[in-house]
Amino acid sequence: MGERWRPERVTALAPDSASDVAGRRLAIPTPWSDVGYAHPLLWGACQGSGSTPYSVVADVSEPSYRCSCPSRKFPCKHVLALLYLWAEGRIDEGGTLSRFAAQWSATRAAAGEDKTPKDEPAERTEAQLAGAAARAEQREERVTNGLAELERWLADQVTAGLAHTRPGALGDLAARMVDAQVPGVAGRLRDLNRRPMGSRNGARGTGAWLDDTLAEYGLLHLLSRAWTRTDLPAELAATVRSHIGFTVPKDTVLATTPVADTWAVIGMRDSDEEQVSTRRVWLYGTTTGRYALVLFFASRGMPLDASLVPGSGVTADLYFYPGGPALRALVGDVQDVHQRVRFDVPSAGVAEAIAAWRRVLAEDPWLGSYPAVIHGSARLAPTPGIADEAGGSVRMVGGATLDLLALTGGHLAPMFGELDPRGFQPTAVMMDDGLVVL
Amino acid sequence: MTFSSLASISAVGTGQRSSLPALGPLSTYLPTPEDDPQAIAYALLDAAAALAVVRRGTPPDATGESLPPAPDDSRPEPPPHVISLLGPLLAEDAGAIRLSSDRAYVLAEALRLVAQAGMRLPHRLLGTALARRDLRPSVQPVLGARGDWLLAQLRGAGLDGASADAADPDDPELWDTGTTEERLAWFRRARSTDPDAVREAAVAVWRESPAAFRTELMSAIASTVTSADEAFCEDNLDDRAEGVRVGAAEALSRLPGSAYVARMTARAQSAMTVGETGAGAIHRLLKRAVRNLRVTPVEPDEASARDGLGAKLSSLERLTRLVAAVPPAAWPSLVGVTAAELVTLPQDEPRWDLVPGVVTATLRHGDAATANALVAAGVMDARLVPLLSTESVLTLLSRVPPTLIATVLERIPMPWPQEIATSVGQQLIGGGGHQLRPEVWTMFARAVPLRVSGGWAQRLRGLGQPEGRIVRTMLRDATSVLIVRSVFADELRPYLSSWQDMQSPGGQP
Repeated sequence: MGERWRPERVTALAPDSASDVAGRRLAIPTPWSDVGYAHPLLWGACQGSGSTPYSVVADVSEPSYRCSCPSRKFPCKHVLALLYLWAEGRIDEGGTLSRFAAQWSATRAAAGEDKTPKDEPAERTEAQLAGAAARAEQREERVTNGLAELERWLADQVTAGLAHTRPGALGDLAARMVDAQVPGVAGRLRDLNRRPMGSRNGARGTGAWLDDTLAEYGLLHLLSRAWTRTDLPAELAATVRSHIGFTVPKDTVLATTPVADTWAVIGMRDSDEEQVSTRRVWLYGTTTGRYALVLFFASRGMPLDASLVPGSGVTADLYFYPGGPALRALVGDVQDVHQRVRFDVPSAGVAEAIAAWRRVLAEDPWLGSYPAVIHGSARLAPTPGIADEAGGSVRMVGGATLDLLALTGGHLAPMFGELDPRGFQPTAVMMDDGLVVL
Repeated sequence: MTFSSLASISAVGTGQRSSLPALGPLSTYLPTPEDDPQAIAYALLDAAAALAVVRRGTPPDATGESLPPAPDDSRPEPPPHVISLLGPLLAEDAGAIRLSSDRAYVLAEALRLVAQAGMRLPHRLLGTALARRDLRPSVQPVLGARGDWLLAQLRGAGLDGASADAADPDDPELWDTGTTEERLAWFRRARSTDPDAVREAAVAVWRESPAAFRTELMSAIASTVTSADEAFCEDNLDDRAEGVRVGAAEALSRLPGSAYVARMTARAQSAMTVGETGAGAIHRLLKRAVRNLRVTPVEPDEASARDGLGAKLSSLERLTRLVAAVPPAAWPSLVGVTAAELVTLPQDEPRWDLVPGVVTATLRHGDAATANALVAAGVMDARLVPLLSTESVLTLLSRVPPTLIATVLERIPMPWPQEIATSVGQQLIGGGGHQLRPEVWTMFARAVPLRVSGGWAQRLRGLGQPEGRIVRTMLRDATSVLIVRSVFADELRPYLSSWQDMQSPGGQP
């Protein structure tokens, strides 16, 4: 019998929070009948509003699933509910395999046998290569022009005074940067545009807004200047290109030397941007002590990859994107999956964490945040923060503060999180029985 | 040059003449000709970039003396299945139960059970539990040492909503210095501990207090009246505010030995006579006396007006007030029949409805015997329910129309006696659910005694998909509530000394 999932893994599978809520609501025995489990198959029938119950089946080893309901969500609430029931230990091994499950299983098996190895991609012709080179050159020219416009615009703003910033100006500029194929800059401008003006004392163009805006303008100015430099070291040039929005083909990343380790999932955060959902998963190499950031993308309403479950671990090869600090990575071959991980966390205080943060800022001044581990005690009063044994402290931010305090009780514990200019945002803590993601 | 001074210059603009004196320090970073605004702007952006990186690399610290770590917990956590159900309920996730009011009820009941079982919330749920201030009374008994420590942290940081130095609601100073609401709240609370001293406090400020305030005070006195309050209330039958006079009469009518009750009883005795009817040939042949009631309406005069029977009221209103002021137990000595017999006696025309007055008196004096007798005599007044025996409640339920059953049920303290739960449940599963108001399903699911909740969940599940969308929805909701309640009961039962521990203390639906 395979290892039973934890409910958090089901939550991670939900395409959106509404589906998750609906799935939890159905995760009671009332509407279910003919449920059963024979590893890896899990099945059941859920009574909906119609007269015929929906047939549901899931293969928990992959996972993959099927439901006879007409929902466009994938997985639908019925699949999620069945998985919740199983994860909570309310469905045991046994039961008669339903016809629907048997058919689905047989169809998949047949499809698997029919699969033949994909042909190697055809070599590109010379004409195609020339076309690609011309397109790349054209893009670089557009980026150069776009960043030159950005540079002039920033200087104009500083000359005229930020207090006179026209509402909507940042949004307009972001749209022009999209046209200039500088999506990284466009995203930063949109983020800045969302910040409330005069948030500290009510006056427009003052206080936190002014400080943050000038800081961001300075960093954008630095980025556009860096683009014009031809003498940058290769790593820094790659960093600049990634912040501008140039993507690196997966094949290029997978051609680098992988880093093998058992990687603990120390944090996960989902966000939605227009039509795309993004999942950011932080990993920590339990042997190498390296951090990694794995990004997953999906169209809104579609499920995000749920293979990396908070609190679990994977023994796998990771391929890091170019640029410094090497953080973003792709997961290669997975040798093993561990439901819970327990490992020795290096002893590090606040000073070490901040020093590491400064080192990576020196390599990448545009970086938003960087993972850190701090052996410290969390507290709320008089100021929310983490204090270490050496007397160092850092402000604690984010929504997991109360949970961290409840779990640690103010005792010393190794805490994982993200360090950014606002402070330390905890994402996980190592407890006696393993890593707990907040 | 600091980042703040750069920000100040950029807010005004390097092209503004007023910025020029402040621009001097920029030359440290990049000498620029002062007549080239764009070059100055670039110099400022260069400096801003450098200082922004420094600023980003200096996250704020959190200095200050902190509280000592939390002590160890001595109480155990609940079983895992209980924890898995408590999590979504505390987080207000829809979870297994759709209606938020159902979730709140089930959660409060579950937390009570956890407390009775000598357990505490697991640490990982404490943050969610304490983030909801509405749950504080239910959550506080199951916080454990870790939860108490966390609450102290929240309060120390001023993040608990209530300020650490918030006024103590029992502080007598509030009576002198508080707002009107604080003074009234203090008065109501203090009446339950030292009614005489509190009444004297009211007497001291009575004359200068506005009518609305006096009315509220008198209302508080009426609900906690003792014989020591009689003189004060008697004086206030002459108050200039009608609300105060009504409150005083109300208070006095709750004192069976008061002069007010004696006056009203005397008026009632003269207003009502029970005699034998003269008519009826059959009765004469059978030689059986048939009693009837003759009512002489009270004529208002100065004395009766002072007692609340003024000319502004109709004859029926005066009669109702009069009857309501007579203790039900007094009727046999007044007219030779009980209160329940009084309301059923035949009357000469015009007939006077005595039921409202008798019911009010019964409630005022908490007279359970009269309440049961009234129901036996056919009175259908849901207000009597708290005084009724289970048998009388069942009688009442069998007589009231289906649409009024909910008004009876909502007055029965939870959990319901098993006989009542069985009666209502059988009506629901017997097809009566279509005639009952939807809230009966909700009340039933919450009020069924815990020890039988699992059995009822199974019976409701057996109904499948009945006709009618509303009934199907109510059935599904009720079944979910019963299932979750039964899981809590089954899981926590081994840790309780008896099923009695599972009775919630008189909760209302």
